[in-house]
Amino acid sequence: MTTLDYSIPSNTFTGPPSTLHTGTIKLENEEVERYLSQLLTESCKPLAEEEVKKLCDKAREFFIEESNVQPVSCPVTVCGDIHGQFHDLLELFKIGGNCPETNYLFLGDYVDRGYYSVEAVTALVCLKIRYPHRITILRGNHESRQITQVYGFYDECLRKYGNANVWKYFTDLFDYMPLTALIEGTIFCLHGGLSPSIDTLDQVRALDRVQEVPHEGPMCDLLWSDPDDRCGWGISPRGAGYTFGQDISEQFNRTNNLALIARAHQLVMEGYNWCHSQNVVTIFSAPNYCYRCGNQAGIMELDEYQQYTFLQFDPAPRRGEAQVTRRTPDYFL
Amino acid sequence: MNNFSLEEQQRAIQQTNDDAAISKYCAVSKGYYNDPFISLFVKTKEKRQPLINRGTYARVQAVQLLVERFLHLTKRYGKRQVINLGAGFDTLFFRLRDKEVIWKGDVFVELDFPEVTQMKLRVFRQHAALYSLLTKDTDMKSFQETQDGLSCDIYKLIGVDLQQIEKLSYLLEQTCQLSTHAPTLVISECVLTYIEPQSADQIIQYFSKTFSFISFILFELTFPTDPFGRQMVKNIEQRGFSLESLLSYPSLRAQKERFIQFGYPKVDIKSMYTIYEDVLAVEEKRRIERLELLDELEEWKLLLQHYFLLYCLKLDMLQESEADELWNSFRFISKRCEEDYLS
Repeated sequence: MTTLDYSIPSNTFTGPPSTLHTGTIKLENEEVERYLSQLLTESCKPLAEEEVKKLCDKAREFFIEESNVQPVSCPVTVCGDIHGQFHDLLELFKIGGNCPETNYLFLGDYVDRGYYSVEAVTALVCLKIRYPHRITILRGNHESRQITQVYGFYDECLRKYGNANVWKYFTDLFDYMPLTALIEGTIFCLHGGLSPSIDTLDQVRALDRVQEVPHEGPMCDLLWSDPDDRCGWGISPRGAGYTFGQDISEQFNRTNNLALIARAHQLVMEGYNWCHSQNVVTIFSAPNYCYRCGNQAGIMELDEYQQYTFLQFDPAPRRGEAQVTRRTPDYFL
Repeated sequence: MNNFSLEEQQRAIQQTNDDAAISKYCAVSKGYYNDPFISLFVKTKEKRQPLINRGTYARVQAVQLLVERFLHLTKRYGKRQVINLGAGFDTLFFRLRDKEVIWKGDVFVELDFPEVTQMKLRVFRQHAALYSLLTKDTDMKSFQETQDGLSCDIYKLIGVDLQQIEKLSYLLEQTCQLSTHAPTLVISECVLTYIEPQSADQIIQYFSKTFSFISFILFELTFPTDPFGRQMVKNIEQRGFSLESLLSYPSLRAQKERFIQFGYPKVDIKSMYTIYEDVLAVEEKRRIERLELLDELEEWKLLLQHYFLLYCLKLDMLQESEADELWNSFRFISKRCEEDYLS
C-alpha cells in the first residue's frame, strides 16, 4: 500500500490571489484545495453534486477565455488519453511531478472506458481552476455527449450520483474546452489530427468551438483524425475524421512554421510513438488501457529549451479495494 | 499457476460456457447475426462491449462457414459426422438443421462435462422448438434420454470429461457407433486450451489416428507472451483456472506445427484479425459495422490478433490430387497469411 504524496505547496506558487475574482462565480482557493485533497488523497471520494456544479460553472469562465489554439510555454509536460483510469492519473503525477511544480498540457479523453471517469475529470478541472496558468486541458473526441453515452461516463455518473446531472454539468463544460494548443509557437498539440479543411492555425482560431463535437467538418477532424502510412487524405476506419499521410503533416508543419505535431487518440504500446519522419508524435497516457491492453503509458517532458524526454510508466499498484471486485474485461471464451 | 482446487477450476471452466452464451445472445440481440435458438439458453442478459459483439460475430460466422464448407464438400458421402468438443450451449446443430445442411444419415455429437450436458438437456425439455428439430425425421425407436445425455439417429449429447481419452473413444466408437471411415469434422472452440497439454495433444492425435477422413477446427487464444497476451492470461486466470495449453503452444507457428506433428498433413492457421479483414463477406461487414460505434481500432486489432482459427485435413483414402482439390476448396484464401507469424 502506498500513501500518495500530494501536498500542494501554496508558498511556491505565485498565481492568482486566494480568491478568484476573474469571473462572477465565487470559489475560494481553499475550497478548491479541499476538493483536491478529497480527491487526490487516500479517500478519492467524488465531490457532491452541487460542488461539481459550482466547479463546472467556474471552470467555464477560464475555458471561455482561452483560444482555440491556446498558447503554452515551456517547460511543460504533455499527456495523452487518461480514460477514467484515475489511479493511473495519480501515478502520472508521481512520475511527472505534481501540478503546479510541473506544468501540464493534457490532450483530451479524460472520461469513458475506465471506471473512475468522474474522479479523473473532476481532479483535472479542479487543478485548472486552482492553477489556470499551470495546466491546459484540451478537448478529446470522448468529451462529447454522444460518445459518453456509449462508452461509460454517462453510466458511471448515474451509478455514482443516482441521476444524470453531473454528466450534464461536465458535458456542458466540455463544449468550452479549447481544441488545440501551441507550445512556444512551434509544437502544435491536439487530440486527433489534421483536417482537409484546415491549412493554417488561423483557420483553427476562427472556428466556433462552443458546441457538441459535430459529426463532420474541421472541428470533428481535429478531434478524430489519425496519421497513416499512406500519403494524402484517407477515409478513417473510425467513421469520423480522416487519415493523413506524411506529405500532409510535412506541408502543414512547413506552412505554419512548426517543428512537430503532438497528438494522442491512438493506443501505442510503448506510451509514445513517432511517425511521419518525426513530424508527428503520438502520446498515450493510460497504461494497460481498458485493463486489457498491457501497454505502457507515456508522457512527454519539454524543458525550458524545448528539449523533450519521454517518461514511461506501468499501471499503478491498486490499493486492495477495486482489485478484487473490479470485473475483468471480457474475452471470447 | 493458481491456488484454486480442481473442483473450483472445473466450475470456473464450465462458467466460460455461460459467458460465451451471453456474448452470443448479446450479439444476436443487437442484430449482428441470426440465431433463433441462443436466447433459450441464456438466463442472465448482460450488455457486452461493441468490440466483443463484433468479435463474437466474426467467430461464429467463421466457424459456421468452415463447417458448411465441409458439409458441402462431403455431400456425396452417405454419412458425415460432426463432433463438437466442449460444445456447451452452442446452437450450431440447430442452426445447421434449421438450414437443412445436415440431414438424416449424418451424426452430430456434442460432448461436455456432465454438469453442462445436464443443463443443456433441461433446456431441450423446456422448449418444443428444440425438441421438434431433434426428433424431426428421427426414428423414435432410436430416441433415448439418460440423466446427462440424449441420443437419436442424428444427434447425440454426451456428458464426459474429455481428458478421459479411453472413455471418450469408447463413447464415440461403441456407444455412438461412429464410422471410422465416414468424413468426420471435429470442432473445438476454447476448450483444449483449458486442458493440460499432454491430454490435449492426446485428443488431437486420437482423432487423426482413428478416423481416416478427418478435419479439425480449432478456435483459441494465442501469443500469451507479448504485453497484451500477458495481460490477457492474467485477466482470464483471475476467473479461477489456468490456460494450460496456451504457454506450450504460444504462437500460430507452434499451433500449426503441433497439428502437423499429430497427424494432419494439411493445416492452415489464421489470426481472427486476418479472418475478419480477408475472409468474412464485405457486404455483411459493412452492415454490422453500422450497428454500433467501434472507435478503438487498436484495441480491436490487438484482441483479434490474439485469437486464431486453425483448420486442417487428413485424408487416408483419397488420391493425392483429389485430396489437394478438396483441401483447396475447403481452405480460406487470404492476402496476409505470412503476417500472422509476426507478433
